Amino acid sequence: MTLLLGLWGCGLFASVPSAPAPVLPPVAPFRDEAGPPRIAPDATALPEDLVCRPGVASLDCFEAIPEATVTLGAQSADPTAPGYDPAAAPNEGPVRTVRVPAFWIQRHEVTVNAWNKCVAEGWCDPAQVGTGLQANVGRLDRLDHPVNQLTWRGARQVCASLGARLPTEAEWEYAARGTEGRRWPWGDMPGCGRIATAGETREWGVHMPEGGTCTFAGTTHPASTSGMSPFDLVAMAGNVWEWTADRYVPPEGEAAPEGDDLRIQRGGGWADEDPLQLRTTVRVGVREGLQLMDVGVRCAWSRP
Amino acid sequence: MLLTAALTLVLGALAGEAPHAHHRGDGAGRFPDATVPSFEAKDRRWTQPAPAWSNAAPVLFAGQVCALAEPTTVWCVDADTGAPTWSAQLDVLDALSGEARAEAEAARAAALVAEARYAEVRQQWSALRRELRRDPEAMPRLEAADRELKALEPVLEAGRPYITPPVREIVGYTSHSPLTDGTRLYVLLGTGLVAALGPQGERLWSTWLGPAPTPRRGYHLGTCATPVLVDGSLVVGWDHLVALDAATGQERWRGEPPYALYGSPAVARPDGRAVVVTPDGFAHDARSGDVLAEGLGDAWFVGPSVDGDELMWIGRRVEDPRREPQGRIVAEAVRLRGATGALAVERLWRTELPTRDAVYNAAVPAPSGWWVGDALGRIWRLDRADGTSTLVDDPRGTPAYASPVSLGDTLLVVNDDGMVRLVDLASGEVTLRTRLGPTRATPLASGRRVWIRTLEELLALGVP
Repeated sequence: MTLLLGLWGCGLFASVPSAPAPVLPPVAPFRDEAGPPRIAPDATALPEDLVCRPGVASLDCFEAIPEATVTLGAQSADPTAPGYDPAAAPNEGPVRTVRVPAFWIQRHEVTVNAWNKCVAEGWCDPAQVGTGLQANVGRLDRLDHPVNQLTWRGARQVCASLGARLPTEAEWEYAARGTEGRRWPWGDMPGCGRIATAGETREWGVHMPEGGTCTFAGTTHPASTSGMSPFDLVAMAGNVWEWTADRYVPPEGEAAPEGDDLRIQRGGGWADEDPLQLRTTVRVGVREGLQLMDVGVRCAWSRP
Repeated sequence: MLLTAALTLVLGALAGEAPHAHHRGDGAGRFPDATVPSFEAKDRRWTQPAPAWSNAAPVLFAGQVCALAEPTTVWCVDADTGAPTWSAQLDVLDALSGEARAEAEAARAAALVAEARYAEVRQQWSALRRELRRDPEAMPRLEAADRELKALEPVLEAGRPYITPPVREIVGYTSHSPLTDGTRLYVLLGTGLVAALGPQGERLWSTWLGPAPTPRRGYHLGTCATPVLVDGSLVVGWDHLVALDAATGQERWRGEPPYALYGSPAVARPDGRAVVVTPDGFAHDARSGDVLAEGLGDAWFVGPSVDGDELMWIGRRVEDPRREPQGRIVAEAVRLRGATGALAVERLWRTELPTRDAVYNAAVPAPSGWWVGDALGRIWRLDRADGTSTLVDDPRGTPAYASPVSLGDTLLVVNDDGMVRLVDLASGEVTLRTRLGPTRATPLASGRRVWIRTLEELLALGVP
């Protein structure tokens, strides 16, 4: 035992750092009369109806993501170094290996239906979602589409109404690319998202590339359709960009715009025509209060 | 006068004109008294170039063949000679008058200007979204573009209902076939306008149902459900099933649940009672719109086919969108009974076709089976007794959007690429393969004439 401890002290068994996790203040419901969140604050397990099960259709359920040591990020400077991706922007680095504790994440992006419920129950502020032509909220034919035009605050509210939270950036990226470090959620071939069959149905928010460019879809697609990640998560690429908990810190040499805090969005959205925009390491910093038409969220949870 | 009357009689006999309450012959795609024509060019009676493409089937009306052309044109030609008789452009604003019309015109004009600017700014928005990945300083410009888009949206929303915006070319605005009861020609356009026209194109009434609904299944490519005429009502599948008084255009009833489906409704008469049946398996009382039965069948892109009291649905069924997003091709048949009260439903059979390719056209019933084409141009026969499917022909062609029709004992199938096949309905033998121009409209037949509306022209075929 003493020998082992000594070796530990020599750094031969140096531990992998944990992925950073921002500490955010708790979210209070928008209205005082809001009831308790669906997952109790002291719950040590998810309610059964929120656990994804094979053969059971649920747009709210969570998939378990096991603890792992993963390599995150990408770089385009050195083809021989880990995480090489010729398309990587400077802010996709540095490539780092971190330990991500076990957590749960929703299989689907949060839907309009779920947002409406959150507002009705008093947790969510309706002003956190934009209105107008591109808004899914307010359209009866879009109830199972992802809520879009969502602010970061609104994203936190809808997750808090479940008793959940925003995923950290590390959790998001690990969930999207798995332990094998996929370039896109479905693998390493460029694409815009899974499509159904050759023929008429382009069942995705962004279509398969023709000549290297995704066909502009014009809108979101129902949350229930394909585009699988290694953990059976849907739409980790395309449909809507997803807020994470992390603040965007510009890489060295890059200035940040003034104003609200920038928070990180991941995953790409339906307006992205470039398949490279949908890679699992792509990240952008966007002002918290913006209500962009291609932005939504999926929630995460972990044991307290 | 006598001469005119005599000519009318002769032309009527040649055309075999009779009031049509459905498109596709008797509503099931059958033209029992029609004769198989010659497809040789030399036997063609006439050809008339179409003003534009359309998917709508032509219809016989007042001695004329009337057809539609994108985006909002009705055009008619003499059934016997092909000489143009009249054409009309149908505008959504036709359904408005006075101040309401003036306001709509102004809203439309403003929206057209806003639309051009919106398209420009949206492109900039997308480019800035992309740029943000590498340059956070694109953020203020993205915000400005986002603000401008949001400012333009109310102008667009106010005017868009009156604009004919582009839809995907495959469906357009004229995929609903016109209908006639012999007195009026009824036209539904994808703009939401429903109009009744007289024999010389005179506008009898028009009404606007509102903008095209987003279909509940599939992408928003437009609308294409052809209405039905039943007991004095024109029943239209729009956001809901809506029954209009055929004489006045006044709404008689509005059905629940919502419609918003690609497939056309169909009329069945179990024990003499008229019911309107939907692609998603609801049966509505034709007089009141009340639901008399539900869960009868389900198909994504096409409505049910009816033969007497027997109904058949065929098409895509998606039961597990996660594991099988494209679903399966399922066919099922029911028999309906009941002159009053709720309908009694007898389930006859359910089968799954050994293909995942979509079905876009309605089946034709024959004693030998239900006959239908699929998205790869194959022809299938489904046994009437148990639905067992037989692949009759597999030409590896293009889709058949036009529904097949039967001319007596012969099936006529026209594919999207213009391939034409005749199939003997008793033996299943393909007796003719030939080619016309690309076609999506279901053929029309009467007596010794068949009219085929290709994307570019209207052809009159005859018996040599």
